[in-house]
Amino acid sequence: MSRRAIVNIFSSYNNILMTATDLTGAETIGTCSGGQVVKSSKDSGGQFAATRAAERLADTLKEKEFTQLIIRYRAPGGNKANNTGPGAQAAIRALTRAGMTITRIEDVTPIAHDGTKKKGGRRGRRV
Amino acid sequence: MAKKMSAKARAAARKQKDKWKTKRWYTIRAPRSPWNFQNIGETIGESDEHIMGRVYEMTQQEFNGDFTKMHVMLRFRVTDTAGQDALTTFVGHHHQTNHIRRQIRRYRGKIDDVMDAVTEDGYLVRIKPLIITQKRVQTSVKQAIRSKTREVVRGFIAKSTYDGLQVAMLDGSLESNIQNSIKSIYPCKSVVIRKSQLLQAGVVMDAGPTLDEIHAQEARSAAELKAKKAAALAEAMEEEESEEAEEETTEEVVEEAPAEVAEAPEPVAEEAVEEVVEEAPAEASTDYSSMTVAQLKELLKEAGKPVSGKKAELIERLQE
Repeated sequence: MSRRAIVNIFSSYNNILMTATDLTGAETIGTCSGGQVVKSSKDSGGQFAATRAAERLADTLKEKEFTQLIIRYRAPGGNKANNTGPGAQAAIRALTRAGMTITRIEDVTPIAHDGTKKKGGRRGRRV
Repeated sequence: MAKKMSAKARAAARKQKDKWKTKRWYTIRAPRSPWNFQNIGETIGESDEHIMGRVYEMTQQEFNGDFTKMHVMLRFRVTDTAGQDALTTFVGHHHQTNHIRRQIRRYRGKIDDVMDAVTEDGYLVRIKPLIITQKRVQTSVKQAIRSKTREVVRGFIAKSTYDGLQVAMLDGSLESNIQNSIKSIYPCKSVVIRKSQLLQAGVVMDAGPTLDEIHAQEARSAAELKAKKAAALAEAMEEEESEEAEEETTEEVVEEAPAEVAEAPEPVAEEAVEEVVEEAPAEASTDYSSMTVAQLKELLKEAGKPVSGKKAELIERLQE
């Protein structure tokens, strides 16, 4: 018996958060994040952290007999970055490598239809 | 940061895990009319109250197998439960944004609209048509197209029930209606209903089979499938047996041997192997190919021949 689940991936440059839910998105099956699997917080948005986190999530999913996945990934979006962090791709690849069947991949980044001003002020971020 | 789990958190996690087992699976079913309680998915939850109000989203391809509509997402909201079934109502659809974005280009006109309308049975729906023209168009043309579209959609909705509207939106007949009526104004690349939303429900129609009937039908079809499978299996077995009967009895043993090996016993295989060696080395040439490499190697070992090489070579060496 193979069940289907939705894996919601939030990927920013600083971290990657993954939540597996049932098909309605209401019931959580398991979660994992980049910060849980690496020691230093600067790595938690990276590819390695994403792979490790995805593997861990895949384990929980397998335990509960979920093998088919729908992936819904997003970047911070809104008035923040619209591009996903480096971890999103790695996480999806790791999930496939872990033996999951991915039926659909969807980009659900929130796109602002105009809203509040992006942070950083008039002259931008001054590093 | 990888922090150590506190005792409290661990206890909470354990509790969570126990909770999972108490949850039940519900079958999500499409509305009775016009979709006949079609089984569209499943969800898990503790009790009926938890299931209520959940929104299930799926592509139209998954819904009715139409792969040209794989970018259309349908939304169903759970409004009622009956035993293990979660009954839903259709609360709208939308096209995936990436699909829409792909169509919108430079030198094409985009005509977007939002309109509310009430169906014959009192459902208030919001419809968002999207029309992409072949070339860049003037605002006056856009306005003409928009007003014509409004006219067509309003006219259609006023004369149809919510069920009829669902069917017309999903099978594309409403879209082709619009297309035909605006064809004379300007040639269009695509005419779609980009999004629909159910704002207020009206009178619920009691058409179509009941849930019990559907359950009976599903049980019947499952039984039929099972029977068909069993029949196919029996047929296959018979064929195998008849084939074996045609051949000689010694060979029969050999034929059966490889199948039996999979289950367990080495000794059976060895017996068969010995028989082959003793009785019918020439005739058994067909059987060699059905044997595994390991068995062939054993045979070769007994015959005192080298055991290396591919399966074909092994067979050749055995037949020498």
